[in-house]
Amino acid sequence: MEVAARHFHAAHAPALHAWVRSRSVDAKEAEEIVQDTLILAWRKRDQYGRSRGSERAWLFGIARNVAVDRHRRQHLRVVPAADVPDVAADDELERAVETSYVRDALLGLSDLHRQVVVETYYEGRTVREVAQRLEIPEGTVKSRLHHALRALRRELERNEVLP
Amino acid sequence: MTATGHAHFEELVAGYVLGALSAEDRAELTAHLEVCDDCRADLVSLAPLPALLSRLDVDDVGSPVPTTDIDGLVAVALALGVGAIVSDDEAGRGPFG
Repeated sequence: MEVAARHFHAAHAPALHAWVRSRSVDAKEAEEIVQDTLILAWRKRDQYGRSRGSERAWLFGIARNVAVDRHRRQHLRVVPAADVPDVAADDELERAVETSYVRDALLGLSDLHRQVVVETYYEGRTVREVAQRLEIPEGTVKSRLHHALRALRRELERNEVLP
Repeated sequence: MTATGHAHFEELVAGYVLGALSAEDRAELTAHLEVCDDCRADLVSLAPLPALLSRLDVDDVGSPVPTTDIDGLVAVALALGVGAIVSDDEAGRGPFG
């Protein structure tokens, strides 16, 4: 039981946290929403069936409801509109689930592989620039990128983000 | 195999889809793609990745994720007991339910 709960938490809490935070929720409230969601999901886990899509999609749906409920309960408070997480539509939720898998896949790469992806794609450097910066041969950068993207592709296939 | 063998081109595909190759490498690979089914298949396989990566920003991938309170969840799980199932009614009833 404890092992299963820990596994469940480890598998989804970071992704859930990142998603809730991305919806303009402050850190403390995000923490509470994640905790409430995981506890509720754990208690209702018998209701989850494979036919209902990925475990994570189910969990994000619960998080959405938890967030909406909280804001309904607090509706009399004066809250700046930008701070209120809007209700995510189903396709938006599906996209959020996919994005969370992309993030997990990237964070799951080895440091050396993630580094070259970040330096080229996110920071806009060429292979040559990265090689000079890291003082390694260009061929090594190319090879790391090659392995990094293949690993991303495999991981995203496993989670059915890519066919 | 020389540096212009198949493995050389195969390793360029990732840099190509990320837009990180030099003009010379890009030109070499483009020419090779005309004649190599395997590399074209690789290109098709990796091509969706930039769009997916674009959903994240660099802050998102550089910083560690704050961890939530796992012990709190475990405590609840233990308190509920092994195999304890909470019915929908019980779980969903609010203070006025």
